[in-house]
Amino acid sequence: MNRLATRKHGVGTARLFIVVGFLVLLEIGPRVWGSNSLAIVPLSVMVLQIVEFFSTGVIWRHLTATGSMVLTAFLLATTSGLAIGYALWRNRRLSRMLNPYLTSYYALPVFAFYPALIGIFGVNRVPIILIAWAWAVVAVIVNTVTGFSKIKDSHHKLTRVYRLNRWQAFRRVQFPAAAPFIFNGIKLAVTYSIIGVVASEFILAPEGLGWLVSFHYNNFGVSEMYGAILLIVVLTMTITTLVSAAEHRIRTAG
Amino acid sequence: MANHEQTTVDPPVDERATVAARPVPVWRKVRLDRLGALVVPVIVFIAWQLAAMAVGDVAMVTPAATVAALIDGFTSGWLTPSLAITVRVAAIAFAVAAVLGLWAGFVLGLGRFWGTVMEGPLLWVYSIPKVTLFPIFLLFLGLGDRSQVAFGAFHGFFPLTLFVLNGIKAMSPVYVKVGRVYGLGRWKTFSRVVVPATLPSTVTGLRYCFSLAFLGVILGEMFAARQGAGHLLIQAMGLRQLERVFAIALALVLVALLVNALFIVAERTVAARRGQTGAVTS
Repeated sequence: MNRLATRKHGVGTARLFIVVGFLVLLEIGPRVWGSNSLAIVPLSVMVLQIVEFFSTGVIWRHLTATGSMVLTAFLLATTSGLAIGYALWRNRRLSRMLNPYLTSYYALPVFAFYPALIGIFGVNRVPIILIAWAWAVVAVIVNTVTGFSKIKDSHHKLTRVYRLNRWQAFRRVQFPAAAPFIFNGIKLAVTYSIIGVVASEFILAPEGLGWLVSFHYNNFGVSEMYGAILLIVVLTMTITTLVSAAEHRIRTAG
Repeated sequence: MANHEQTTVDPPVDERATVAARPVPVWRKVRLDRLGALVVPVIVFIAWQLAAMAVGDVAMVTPAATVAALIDGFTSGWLTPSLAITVRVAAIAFAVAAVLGLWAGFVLGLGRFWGTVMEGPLLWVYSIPKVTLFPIFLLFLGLGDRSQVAFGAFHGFFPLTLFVLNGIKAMSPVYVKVGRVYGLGRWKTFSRVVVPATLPSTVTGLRYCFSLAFLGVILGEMFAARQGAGHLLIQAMGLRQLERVFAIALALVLVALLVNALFIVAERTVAARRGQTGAVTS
């Protein structure tokens, strides 16, 4: 048991070393080898670019655009995913019918539909939100169905012993029992919403963080491009970490 | 029969009159949920047709027109070369990602410490919108096939590594100990014990690897390429050739689903074989 405890610290420090080492490489590497600064810039230049984005205020329009689209897609995906997942769990036959499609869903190149959606709706938020929703919703559905199917018989019997009606049974027994998987689905929904929105913006959009990267690439603004990329990476990692921490907090509290 | 020693009891009903002996009508034999699974594409088709009729052909294309455009793409040849390029690039990207991913997955999975350490960063990279890193590939490797292959491989590498890694972690340590009891060397333990034990998750990982490599190649072509199906997609969209846009998307979906189906068959074969050998499942 003691060995496990020291191993845990070892893992943390090893990860820290790797991350710090990578950042150092990112700072020194371009200065030493990258004399052609057309391919990469040092980390400090990237960070300075981000600061400039904020100080000139250029970034806010894109941040709000991307942020609002991600939020919309996430809320849509979570609510529809939970609803559909619950409905599937209640209806076994429908579940079995759809199961092969749900397990193979992520083999679909969903982003190949993006131009078609643009053809229908135009170059605005709607296709982006639709693609991000389509990318995220199935993860929620699958995790919801799995979560509810993991409810033990003892839980079901409990609802009958206490004579709970359907809503009470759901709120008091079924949902808490399925919660771990459902939270995992919600975590995935956050990640996939971000990926869906930013990737779509990157390909074609009126504005947004993804658009910012492609704009600067196309206009040979290498430092600005790397600044935008770094900003996206940092934001995504921060959000993912916060969601994980929130999940941990809820799990240990409940 | 009553003359012999009465060791059996005569059934109350003649066997031929029982329900089990009655011939089963054909429609009872067909598994209803298998049939049901085929209903889904039909429903999707119908919904698509209705939506197209409601929206009008300025913005949306009917299924029939899409299929017609698809066939036209193959017969008159505006689709075939581009699709072939995309599939070829995706295949190479998948091969690269598979080799690297399998190696990384097994190395990290078997090396307990580094596996746990690297899983964190791997998950982080997996969760960022990797498309935004594509310009980096372009800047370093140029505009040609190399950056497409590298980016596709980059896309497919991470899920495969994570699947293999988790497959090894989920493997019962008893297996390795049994290997030691039999005095198997390191390579034999690996090939005779670890690989078969983790085969299901490895095959699933390879399936995701191809899907994501394929998607990565398409995304790369949509952003900056002068050939391939992704590029054709953007071009047709710019020219408002909506039938072509829908047809190319359909072609890509069909290719992806076909390869995916092959992997699913492989997964089922692996699962069936495991059942037959009676291997101890965790």
